[in-house]
Amino acid sequence: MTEIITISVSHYIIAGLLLFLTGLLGTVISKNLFRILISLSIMFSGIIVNFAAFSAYNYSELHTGGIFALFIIILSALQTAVGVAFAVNIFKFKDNIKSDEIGEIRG
Amino acid sequence: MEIIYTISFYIIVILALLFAIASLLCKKTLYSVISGFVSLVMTGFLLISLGFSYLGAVQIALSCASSTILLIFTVLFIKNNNELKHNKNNIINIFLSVTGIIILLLTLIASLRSGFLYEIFNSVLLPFTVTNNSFSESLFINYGASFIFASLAFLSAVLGFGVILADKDVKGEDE
Repeated sequence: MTEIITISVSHYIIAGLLLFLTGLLGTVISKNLFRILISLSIMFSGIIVNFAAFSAYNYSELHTGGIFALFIIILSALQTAVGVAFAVNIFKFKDNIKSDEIGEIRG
Repeated sequence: MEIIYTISFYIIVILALLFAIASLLCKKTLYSVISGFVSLVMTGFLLISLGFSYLGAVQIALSCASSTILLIFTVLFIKNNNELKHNKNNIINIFLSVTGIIILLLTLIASLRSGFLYEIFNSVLLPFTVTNNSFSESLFINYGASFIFASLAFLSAVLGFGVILADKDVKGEDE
C-alpha cells in the first residue's frame, strides 16, 4: 500500500513510458499527417517526463535532465512547425494529407 | 499532504493518458488535435508537480502555440476536405471547442494569478528544491552555448516555415 501512496521515480518512468507508447502507436497506425504530428508531440512529452523525473529525484546543481527536457520541448515545437509546413505543401500537391498516398518526394 | 500529492499525480497521469488515447481514436481531426492539446497541458502539470515550474510553463505555452497552429490549419483543411460536410452542427462544434480552450486557458491564468495552484503545489509538495533561480543559472552559465544553438535552430525552423508557406509557385515550377 505504501508503494502505491508514495510516489517514486518509477511512477514517473511508467507514466512517461505509457505516454511514449501511446504516441508511438499513434505514429505507426495513423494515416493523417496532423494525427502523426500530435502523436509525435505526445511521444516527446513522455521523454520529457522521464528526463524531468530523473533530474528531480537525482538532484544536482546542474539540473541536466531539466535542461535537456527544455531542449526537447523546443525540438517538439520545432518539429510541429516543420511538419505543418510540409503538410501544407503536400496538400498543395495532392489535395489531401494522408501519409500513405504520398508516394514520392521530388527535389 | 502526501496523499493529496499522490491523488493529484494519479489524476494528472490518467487524464494525460486518456486524452492521448482519445487523440488516436477520435474520427475527426479537429477533436484529435484538441485531445492532444489537453494531454500536453497535463504533461505540463506533471512537470510542475516535479518542481520544474518553469519547464511546465514553457511546455504549456509551447503546446498551446503548436496546437493552435495545428488547429488553425486543421480547420482550414477541413473546409477544403469536407471532413465535416455531413455534420450539420460543424460551426457550433468548432465554436464550442475553441470556447472550451479559451475557458481552460483563462481558468489556468486566473488560478495562477490568484496563487491557487501555487499554494496547492507548495503545500502538497515534495522534497524537490528546484528553483527557477538555480535552473536559470545552470541554463545560462553551464549550458549557454547549447541554449543559443537550440534557439538558432528554432529561429531557422520558424523562418523555414514562413518561407515554405510563402512559396506559392511550387506546383507551377514542378509542371
